[in-house]
Amino acid sequence: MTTLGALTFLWTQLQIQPLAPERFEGLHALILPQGREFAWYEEIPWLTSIEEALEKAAAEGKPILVWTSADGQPCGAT
Amino acid sequence: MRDRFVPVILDGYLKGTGAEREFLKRVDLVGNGFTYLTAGGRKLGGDSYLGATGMAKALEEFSRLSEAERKARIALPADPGKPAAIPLAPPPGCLIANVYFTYLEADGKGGFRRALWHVEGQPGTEPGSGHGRNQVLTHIDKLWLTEAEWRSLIPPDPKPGRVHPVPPAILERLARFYATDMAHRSTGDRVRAAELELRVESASETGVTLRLEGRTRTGRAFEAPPPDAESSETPGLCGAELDFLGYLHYDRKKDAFDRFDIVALGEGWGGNRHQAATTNYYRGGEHRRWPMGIAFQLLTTRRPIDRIPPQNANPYRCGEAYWKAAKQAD
Repeated sequence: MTTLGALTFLWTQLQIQPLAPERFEGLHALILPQGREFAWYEEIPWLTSIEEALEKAAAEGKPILVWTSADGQPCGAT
Repeated sequence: MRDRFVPVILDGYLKGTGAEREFLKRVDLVGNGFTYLTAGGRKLGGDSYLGATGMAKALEEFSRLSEAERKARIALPADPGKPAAIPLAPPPGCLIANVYFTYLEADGKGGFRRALWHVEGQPGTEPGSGHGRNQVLTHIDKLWLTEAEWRSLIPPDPKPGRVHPVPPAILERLARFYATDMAHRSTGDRVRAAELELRVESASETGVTLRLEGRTRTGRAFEAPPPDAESSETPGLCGAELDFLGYLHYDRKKDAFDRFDIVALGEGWGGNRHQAATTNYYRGGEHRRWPMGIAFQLLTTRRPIDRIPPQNANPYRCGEAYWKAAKQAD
């Protein structure tokens, strides 16, 4: 195999191995929610039980906001 | 929303105990959207379908109530109701990881960037185009491993370089319920091939680092154009091919994993143009492969939102099959 052939082969191998260990951290970060995309999820203290919400609302004198999804859990995979 | 309300999210299929469901029925809960209530069970104006557009109206109505009305609390009877209607709780000692999914595209430099989730019929190629419906989005699910399962990942005598297969139950769970186009809401794709192994990278008195590697092939093999008599939207045409790489760290002192980072990178195909999330495949009606990525990340907090079950563990999806994946696959 010529030097050019070997280089071409190596380059091709690199191209088809996008999940190499040196790319791991960057790819992991790329797939996670970006910027403030998940602020609605992370920054709002969602409860998941109406009983707990009634208790907290009475104690704090606040209204309750109920978010329901007809097809599963609004903050989960639906 | 965070400061002026008590926010609660309810699974439309699993709203809680019998008493809770009866209460919610009485207050005429919006089935797919937002409802505003007092702790006394009084409905406030501003109900809305899908968007939280009625918050201001609800707050205004609430402010007009007396303090006694604002703080009154309705007592629900202690009725456990049908267990099937109560959301699942993670088993004691369960490892919980967030699982994120998104579509990718080549960045022209040998890597990837995030791809737009294009809604069929909505024009534009930029985030926010198509009346705001075309966006770069991340889909979230959860992974649960029982204590016995996560312990089975740690080899009894870890020596650097030693390789062992991912235990069958975990392999099957990862392949069937996660190694797929998760936005398409697979409820357990057929596993054509799955090989995942763990290599001990380091082992010491403080902990063990494992590298997870392998690949999965799920659903139906890609054929383009689709076979005769099938269109690009034929049910069951979905499939995915993914390579896995991950780093897991078990901390001996904590007796727990403190790192559970995994990436699955590959391509998927098939879907339905009416599901917004999957219409990337259908621009131009072409049946094609689309790059996608999945990232697992350990959750160390246990807020109510962290305890939401994996979608396929729910009784209205795959239920027990989530835990018995390996058995089912036989």
